[in-house]
Amino acid sequence: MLSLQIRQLCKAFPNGTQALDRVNLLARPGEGIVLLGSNGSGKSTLLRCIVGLETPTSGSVKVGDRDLSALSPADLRQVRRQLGMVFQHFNLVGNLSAFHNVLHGSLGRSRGPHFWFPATAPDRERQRAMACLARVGLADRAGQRADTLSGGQLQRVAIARMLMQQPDIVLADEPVASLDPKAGREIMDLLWEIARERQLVLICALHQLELARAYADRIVGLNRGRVQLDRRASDVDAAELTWLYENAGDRATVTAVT
Amino acid sequence: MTLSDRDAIALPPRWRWPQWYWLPIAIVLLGFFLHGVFISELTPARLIRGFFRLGQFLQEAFPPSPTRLGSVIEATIETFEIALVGTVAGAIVSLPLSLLAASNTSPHPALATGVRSLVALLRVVPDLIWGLIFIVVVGLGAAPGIMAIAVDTIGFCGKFFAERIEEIEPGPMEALKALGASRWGVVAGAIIPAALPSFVATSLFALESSVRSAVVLGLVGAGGIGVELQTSMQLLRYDEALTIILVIFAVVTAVERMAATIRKAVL
Repeated sequence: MLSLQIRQLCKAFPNGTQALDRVNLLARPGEGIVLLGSNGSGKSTLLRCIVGLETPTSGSVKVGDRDLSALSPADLRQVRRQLGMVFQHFNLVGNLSAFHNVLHGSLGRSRGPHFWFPATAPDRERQRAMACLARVGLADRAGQRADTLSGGQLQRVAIARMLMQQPDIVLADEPVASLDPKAGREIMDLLWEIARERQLVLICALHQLELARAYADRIVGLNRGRVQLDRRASDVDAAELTWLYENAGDRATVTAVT
Repeated sequence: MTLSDRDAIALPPRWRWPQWYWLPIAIVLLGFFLHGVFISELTPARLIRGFFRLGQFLQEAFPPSPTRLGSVIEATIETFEIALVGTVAGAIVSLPLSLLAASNTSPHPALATGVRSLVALLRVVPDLIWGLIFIVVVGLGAAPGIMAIAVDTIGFCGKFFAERIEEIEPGPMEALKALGASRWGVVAGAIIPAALPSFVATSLFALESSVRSAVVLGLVGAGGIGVELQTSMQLLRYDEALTIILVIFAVVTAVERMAATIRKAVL
């Protein structure tokens, strides 16, 4: 099981916004971390830097003992296989079936074009994809086009795709922000169950303070790109969290102007 | 504040004079237009005379002669096949070209600009001219017709395929990239599936226009029904010409109907 270590990570965008400012974070297997912070506090940028969708300005991200910034494109692909990402807007291909979308999870480790289509994928991968769909409770929707599913179901399919990847680290970027409260809780339950049963690192960016307090083992609060809070969830009180959000005001104004 | 207040809010003007540079543009365009009307020499008397001649033509054309119907249908099928083969070939070539031309999939911006320019060049040269060029290159027959239509289709599909690829939402592409998919994995997993319905619809539009092009290309010797039509007209066999025109009409209509049905099914 891999751990994730972030050291002195900085990210400045070309427009001058300092999205991340000397972020340090160590995440261990089996630990569910919730990232909290207002819009523009750097939650998404942090997660995107970890998978390499953004290139950090300085600092390091280490997955296990491999430093992401020192990797060739082929090695970066290798590391990305270990990093499962769940997005706010699911990022599924709408006109493909749920099954086909889940099968996409194997694209990281697959070699050759036959992995690209359900018709030609090896039996082993097809069975694995079906097992992942069954794990999220959607085995009966395998053949249904993704764009005909509800929001909660879409996020389940996205989680199944992530499981298909067999990752060691799961990064969820506001996974419940587009869902109603009930579906949101189901998705949070699912993410936490999976992280516990497979001893994965789970980092989940959230907006909802109640959800954070209900699920997190550890809460990391970001404000203007800096870690302002990093503590066991049971030791965090409501006033601190409110402070985290209220002190974001001036920063939000600056971002809006630039 | 009431309306009678002296410093009431200024209303926007009812009319705004256009910028001065529109004036010379308008004068030049008007000049071309008037000159064009002048050189056409379309006098009412001439139109009326033409109308009577049209009657004469129709009189000689009716009833359409079925004597060569067999060979006419054969040649029309050839025209349709020229259009189909050319369009399919053009659409297939357009696929990699559009991936190179679209800003979100191109390996390099300069390459994207280059491919775009090439596709634009194919588009601005009319299909009839491509036909004439390919007749010089490979000789008369179906081959130059197919090549001209393929090139014409690349000019059309290359542009619209690339635009569709640029419209694809970045989310699914990012998701596959983030889970370690290769460049080709992302193309096959996220880009092609999302764009395929639109690619099919665009190709069907290209096919409709190709069928009409293929008829006209026949007139310059690039195979199919066009040659037959030209021969009949030159021999003043208007009854045969009418047969050919009716068969062309039927085929073009059938292709458009079929294309519309398939488009509805895939979109």
